[in-house]
Amino acid sequence: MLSITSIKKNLITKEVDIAPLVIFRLLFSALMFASLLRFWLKGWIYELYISPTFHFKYYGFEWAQSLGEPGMYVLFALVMLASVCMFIGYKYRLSALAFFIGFTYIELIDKTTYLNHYYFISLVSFLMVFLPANRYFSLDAKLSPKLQTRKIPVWSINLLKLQLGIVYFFAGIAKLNYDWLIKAMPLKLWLPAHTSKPIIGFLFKNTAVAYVFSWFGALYDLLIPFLLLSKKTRSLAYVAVIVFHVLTYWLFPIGMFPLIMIGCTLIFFSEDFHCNLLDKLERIVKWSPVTVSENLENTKGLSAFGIVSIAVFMAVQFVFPFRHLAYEGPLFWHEQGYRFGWRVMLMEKAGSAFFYASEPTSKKRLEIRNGDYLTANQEKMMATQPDMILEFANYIEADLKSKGWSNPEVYSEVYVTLNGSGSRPFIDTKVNLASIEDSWKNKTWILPFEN
Amino acid sequence: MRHLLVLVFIMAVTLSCKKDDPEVADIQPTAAFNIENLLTNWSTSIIIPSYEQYQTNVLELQKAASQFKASPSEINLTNVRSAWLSAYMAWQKVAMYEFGPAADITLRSETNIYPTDTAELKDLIKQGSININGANKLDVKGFPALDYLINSGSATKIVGRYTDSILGTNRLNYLEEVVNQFANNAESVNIKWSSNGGNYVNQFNGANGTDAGSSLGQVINALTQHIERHLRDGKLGIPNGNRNFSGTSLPGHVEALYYGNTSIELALENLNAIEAFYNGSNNDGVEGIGLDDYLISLGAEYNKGTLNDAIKAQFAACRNKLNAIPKPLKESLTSNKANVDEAVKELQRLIILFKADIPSATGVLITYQDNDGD
Repeated sequence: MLSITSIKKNLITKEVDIAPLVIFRLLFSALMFASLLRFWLKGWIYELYISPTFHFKYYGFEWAQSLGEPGMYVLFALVMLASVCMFIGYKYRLSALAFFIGFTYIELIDKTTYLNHYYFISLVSFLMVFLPANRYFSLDAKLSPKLQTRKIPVWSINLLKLQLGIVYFFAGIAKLNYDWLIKAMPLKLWLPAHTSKPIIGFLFKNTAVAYVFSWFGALYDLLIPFLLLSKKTRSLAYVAVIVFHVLTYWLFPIGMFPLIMIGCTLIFFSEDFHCNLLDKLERIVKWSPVTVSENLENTKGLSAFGIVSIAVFMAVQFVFPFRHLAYEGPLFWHEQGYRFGWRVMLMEKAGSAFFYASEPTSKKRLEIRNGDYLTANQEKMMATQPDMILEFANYIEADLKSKGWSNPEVYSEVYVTLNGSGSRPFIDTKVNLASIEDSWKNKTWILPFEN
Repeated sequence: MRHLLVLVFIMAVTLSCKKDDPEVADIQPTAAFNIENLLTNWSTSIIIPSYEQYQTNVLELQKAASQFKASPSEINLTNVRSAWLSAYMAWQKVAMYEFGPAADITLRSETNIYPTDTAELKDLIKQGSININGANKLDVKGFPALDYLINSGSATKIVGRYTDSILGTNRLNYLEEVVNQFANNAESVNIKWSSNGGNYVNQFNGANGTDAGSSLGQVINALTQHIERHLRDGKLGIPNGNRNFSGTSLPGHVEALYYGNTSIELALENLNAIEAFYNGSNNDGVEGIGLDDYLISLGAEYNKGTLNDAIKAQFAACRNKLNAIPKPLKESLTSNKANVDEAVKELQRLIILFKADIPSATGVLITYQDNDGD
């Protein structure tokens, strides 16, 4: 019989070993450091945050501006420093907070670079601020032995499992659509490009493989949280995690995401597994724990406020991905409510956007050269996303005003192809985008997909 | 566990059956396609021979120019003029390959920036300078500068300039330097492509992936950019006034302004070369493996037909509209603006196919950034 108390005990208050949380802290912060370093070495700080003259803003976050040069480098250095401090567990809470704020700020600067895994990192680092991940095997614990403990209430670990589970499960739900399952799109478009890959490349010219990948991908995402939770299936599930993510890493340009997921999902492994791992690490660095009494205020559960906060935090994540239901028409086409919904590698969309400015009173008319304002990457991302098209049109309006136009109108001609549909008109060419401001309201100037 | 599986399958099936979609036939990729064969045909049957042809024409131009320098007569001027025109036509067959060796020396900017800044050019001649290197000298060299130097007046008048007792020698020296730079650039690109030289051909044929650095990715990006900025804008849109605030046409901005009557031919030659390249046809019109074959093998669709058919039709539409512009272009800009507008519009449709549909069908990447969105 499951009683409320026993549920509460199993999910929240039960005392467990801190090892899984410590390992998670080490892995997460190390992966974050590596991600940021990679970003830096590829020259992307300059390319994405310094060289563009214009940045696409998230609705409501227009205040998040690029810090320019050298500001952006300083910011990246600080966030990397924060990840190092998290790793060694020095002033942990402050450094986790600094990491969360710094990283999230960087992501808010330009919507062009939106990736689901950046959103994931923001969420996890936010949670990390509140988790007692520094209470063992950390500099904080070394400096202040009173802090040290082996026992923590289980909620911290469960919270991370839930967060990871949400990512996978919602990614799975997002794949339950006609194109993905029945047409094997977009994999049917993407895989044939990889026929020259070694060993299994020849498979990709076979349509059946796209179907197998699509269905395996959907089932994997939906089931993996549960398979990882269950002791019986865990080892096999982890093999699947590795195969799945290595395969996606090999085929698609999704950066560090596969590695991060492979690292983070270790949290699902047993206490014993983590204790052994931690023992080995302790031996390597010659860590000598002080004797701690195991039954202090450490084992406190969650306050009512804590429980409510977590519930709200999670509820938002459960609801937010479905906000697209408030808009009419196919989500992949209009993309209203698309982001922050764990929609990963879900569609093949490409577009070509032309803008024209005119001024009725003076008969001025101008074709805009997008490259004068946008980088190639920004132009590509903008051409398929209505909110970015609108933002760019508004920016053109402002720019022309600053150049002496009194009342510029901005019209667009945009063609988009979705999952191999062939390019078709995307935006109403008769609508003066300069007269429209972005909002949560349905964007009526997006043309219907079918016509 | 089993219940969950069943649940998931039911969910999947219900969701999927919500919509039936008779409109789009199933994509069925046909036989295996080897991208390396495509790249090899492009490089060895089209790109390299076209650069070699260009170099041959440029060397003839150089020869004619040096004869003219030795003896500035009307006959020798006529030879320079016809060599200039042949080389300019040959240039239209290589202008769009602005990647690899050409991109290394920004060949297109070195060769064909127009209109020429005649004021600065005259200044340089007055000073006796032949220093036309560097980014701020791009508009006093290349085919357009040469156009001004040899075509901006009757043969008698031009020869008179070069035999002028004060500036004649400066002019001859300047002309020679412009032509020598053609020859050097053409040679440089050819050596870099050649398997006996820089062997870029090997690198090109081997980069058979679809990432941003792959040859296919570079080619598609280069073609798209060329059609957009140099064919549509440079040859038509800018002279047509599409890019200036007043919207009035700028006849002084047409290609080969001084020669006068060949702007449309140059544009057509360029368009035809891009189409031939798309089809994998060599300069004798023999068709080999092209992007058309790749798109067919991928089963790429466009609305209710194939993407390949759509692209071929669009090339034809562009050609028709270019042909429909009465010559010379610089006059049609005012007298037949509607024809020019229509040609621009058709080229724009071609751009959409290259910018949206081809990358989508082939999976080539335009940028290096991480991407999980589409």
